Amino acid sequence: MSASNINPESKGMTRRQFTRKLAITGTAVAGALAGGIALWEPKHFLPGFEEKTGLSLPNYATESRKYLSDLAIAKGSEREHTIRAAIDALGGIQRFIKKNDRVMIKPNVAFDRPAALGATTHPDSLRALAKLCLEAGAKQVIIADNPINSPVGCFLKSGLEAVVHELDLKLIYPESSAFSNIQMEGEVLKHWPLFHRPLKNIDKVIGLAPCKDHNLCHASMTMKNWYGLLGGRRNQFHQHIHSIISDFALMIKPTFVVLDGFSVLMKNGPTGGRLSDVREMNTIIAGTDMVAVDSYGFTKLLERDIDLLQYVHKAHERKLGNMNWKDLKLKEVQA
Amino acid sequence: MPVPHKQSYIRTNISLAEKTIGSILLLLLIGIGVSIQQKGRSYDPNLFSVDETTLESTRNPVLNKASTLKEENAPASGETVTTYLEEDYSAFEDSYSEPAVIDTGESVFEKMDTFSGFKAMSDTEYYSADTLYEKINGRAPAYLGFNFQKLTCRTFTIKGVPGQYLDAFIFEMDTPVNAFGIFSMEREAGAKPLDFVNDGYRSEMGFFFRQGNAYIQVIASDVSEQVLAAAEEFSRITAAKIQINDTGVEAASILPMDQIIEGSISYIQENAYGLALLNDVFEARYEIKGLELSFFAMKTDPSSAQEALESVQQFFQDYGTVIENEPINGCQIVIGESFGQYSVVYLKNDELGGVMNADDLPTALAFIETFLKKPKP
Repeated sequence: MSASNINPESKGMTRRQFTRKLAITGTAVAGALAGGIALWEPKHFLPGFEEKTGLSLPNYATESRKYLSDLAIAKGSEREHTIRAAIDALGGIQRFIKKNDRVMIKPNVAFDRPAALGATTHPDSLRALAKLCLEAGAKQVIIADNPINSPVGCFLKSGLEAVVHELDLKLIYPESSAFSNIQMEGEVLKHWPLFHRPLKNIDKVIGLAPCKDHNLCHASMTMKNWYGLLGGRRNQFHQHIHSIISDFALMIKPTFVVLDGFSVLMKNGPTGGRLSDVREMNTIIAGTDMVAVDSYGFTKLLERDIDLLQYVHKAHERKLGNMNWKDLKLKEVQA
Repeated sequence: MPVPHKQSYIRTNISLAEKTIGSILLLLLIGIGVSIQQKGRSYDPNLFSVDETTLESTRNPVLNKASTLKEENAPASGETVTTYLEEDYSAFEDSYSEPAVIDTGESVFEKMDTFSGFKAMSDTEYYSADTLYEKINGRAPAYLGFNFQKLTCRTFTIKGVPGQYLDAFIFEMDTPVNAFGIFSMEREAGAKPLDFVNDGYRSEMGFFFRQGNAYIQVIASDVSEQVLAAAEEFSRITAAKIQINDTGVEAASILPMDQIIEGSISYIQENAYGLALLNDVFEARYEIKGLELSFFAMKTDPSSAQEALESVQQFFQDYGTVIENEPINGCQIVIGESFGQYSVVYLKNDELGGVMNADDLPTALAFIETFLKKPKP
């Protein structure tokens, strides 16, 4: 046979040749498809499927000390002295605040009410706590809250703005750009705008809350105080009020909290409006476990059955704190 | 002739155009693949984000509401605000003139920027049932339970008293009865009644009263006499601007005033004492020889009143004991005992009332006898 018998230009191809080429082409197409599927990430192209990210807050708590109390109850006749006595009973401010620490104090300034009505953190309490932090060598003390009412009106009418000016503290108002999304696995709170600017580069966080009645959840104390860090349409959480309050114990681990029970809003909370709604209890509670602090405040200051306070039970069951305040290293003092 | 061995089909004559097109297609495919891969590595949220300009109309759903975001004219963080309360009153002009009485449908604050001796410190804020929580937060459900309609509020500085102010709130309900209801629910026991309204009292730090279907609160910034005097003046002016309307509240006038515990009058909208037919009930407490009694009254049509009385009797038949008694002064009487407490209920035409849950039957019965036999003005 000679090479001239091979005719490479012959018309058409044999069945075998066609099958072979089809198989090769098919394999190439299938491979391309498989590669495309592997590279394709549906969460990047379908709304609602994108992975939600957000910040999480660092743990601001200090180490527990074996011989120091974790819960202090101070009674006195003068607010500043009583707060100092409560902090001293925990081991002194130096236990918590170090020189050059940047400290954020979170008061409850939800409403534009005068201080005497017990609906907001009292200016004397803020003054006492801020002075303690400054005496301990804090580099800066920041005050911030995202109130229900107008922020300017709230800080002004509550008297806290004057304290800020008096002690040269830094007051941060909530602005649109001050919020960042938090991401956490709460019962209700998962991905939500948080008033984050005051917390940036902060070393210590202290909660300072009044003790008051609340129409929906029976009480507003140190745990509910953190509601003032939320942005967005947070009112929708009222339908799950106890769940979200217990979520706050997961959201933030403050350095310590102070429950101001000097003037307790006993009824018509959270706004109050009458001095007759306020009872002078002359008590300050300070502690490292806000679940325990709230448990004490509800039973001893508001004088109510702890079974009513669902959020404390939830937080306890989730091991976010101990509602059995008697189990803590407790110290009671008279200022 | 033997069949030559068939070789693979090889097309060797490929034109330049074909080669060019093929190369371009191949490069395109590679390029598309690389682009898809790069695109898939980063997600642009703007692709599916909300166009916020479309939400502009909802940013301020309530006219002049107090926003929780920083106001545009508010100071920057760190600055202090003191100018609000340091008004120079030298240029203040007293432009007050006696206004006509207006319905609560139009807020008094809308009409006047200045009352005599006061000056608005803020814009008027308005809140509806949907947005009330934005002002009073967790307290809102209490008001919504009385068919709250609208809140108008504003802050006023006081002429001649720098640094002090008044917060004034007008909560409008749908009816005078519901306004009375929320007013009485928050009433301060033992507070001094006001002489310029039918329902009102002076608290240590403010004035609280009902006028028409409005529940008004004037809260002072301070307890000094000067500020409270200004608050009272402001309250009088405000009350004068709102039409009197006591429709439905007349039943409260049935309650006897003798030996009443001051500030104890309250309104129960429905299911008073757990009884489904006792609705729109006015109740007060009395101190009789060291014992406290609870007396209620309701006004309805005669057949509904009869039906309600029979339901009371049925309740005691089911859960206690019915004690037989003769009518008093022509009025049907039902006496019941349940769990050691006694109730004496009367029916007089369209009026149903009585003493409920008293510890002592003779005292309760004597109270009702005195009440029914007392000549009405």
